[in-house]
Amino acid sequence: MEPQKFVVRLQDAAGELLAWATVYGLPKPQPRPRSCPLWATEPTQFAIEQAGLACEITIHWCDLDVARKTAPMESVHVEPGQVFTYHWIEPLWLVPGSSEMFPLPAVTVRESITIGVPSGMMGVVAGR
Amino acid sequence: MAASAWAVYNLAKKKIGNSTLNLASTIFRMTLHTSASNANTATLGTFVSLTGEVTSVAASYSSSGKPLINEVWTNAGTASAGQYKFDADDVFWSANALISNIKFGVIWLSAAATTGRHLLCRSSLSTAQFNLAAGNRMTVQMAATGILLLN
Repeated sequence: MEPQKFVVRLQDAAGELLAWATVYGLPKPQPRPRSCPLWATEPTQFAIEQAGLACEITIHWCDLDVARKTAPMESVHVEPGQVFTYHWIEPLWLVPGSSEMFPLPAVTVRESITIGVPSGMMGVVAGR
Repeated sequence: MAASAWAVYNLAKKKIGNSTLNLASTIFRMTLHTSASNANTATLGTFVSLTGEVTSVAASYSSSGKPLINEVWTNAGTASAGQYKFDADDVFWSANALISNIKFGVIWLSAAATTGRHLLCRSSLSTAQFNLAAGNRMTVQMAATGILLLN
């Protein structure tokens, strides 16, 4: 699964927009039946557009048009022209799995299929 | 049905190094295994230790799978001439009757003696096992960069 695009908004307590940024969330699936978190690929840098007390972050998963709220660990006063770097200590999004393990009955494929298997690596290029 | 990349068994690495498992051989085979198989256990050594092969079905899936065809070592065809790949033709099974519970594909070295049937690598062909209905074909397609890519 490709990284998913999120738009995150830095807001004050009244919901006023102070800054926004695009963030890409990389799915890091855990073995079934656990949840699948989508982690930000890098810290987010907000270019502050409006002064205010940043105390809320909204995360909008653009393609699905769903959103959630979170908050910085502490509120921070920001001024236009500043760059506010936010290090994610939680996933951008968590797709919940099940708390119990259960078998998935085999489905029957009723068409011819081609399964492409990626190459296995036998060595690593220095520096990678 | 995203398949995982071919993963070399731990012992195969040693066997390649000391030429117990000769990748210039042209007698490799591929078998299919169910989700109950231990195919994804990295420490397996030979085919006899591998469990959960897909049940044989007349004229559809035979025990011990299929031979790989045209195994070859060749330049990977990338800009970097330093990359070589171990490759073979795609492998397919035509289901004349239902083939059940497919999950893993395993490549191993064929030999008369069971002790010589060394496991090379495995792939999870799907995240969950599936059946292939009669009248259809399942092709395991090797990547353009081969089964194994040596950087």
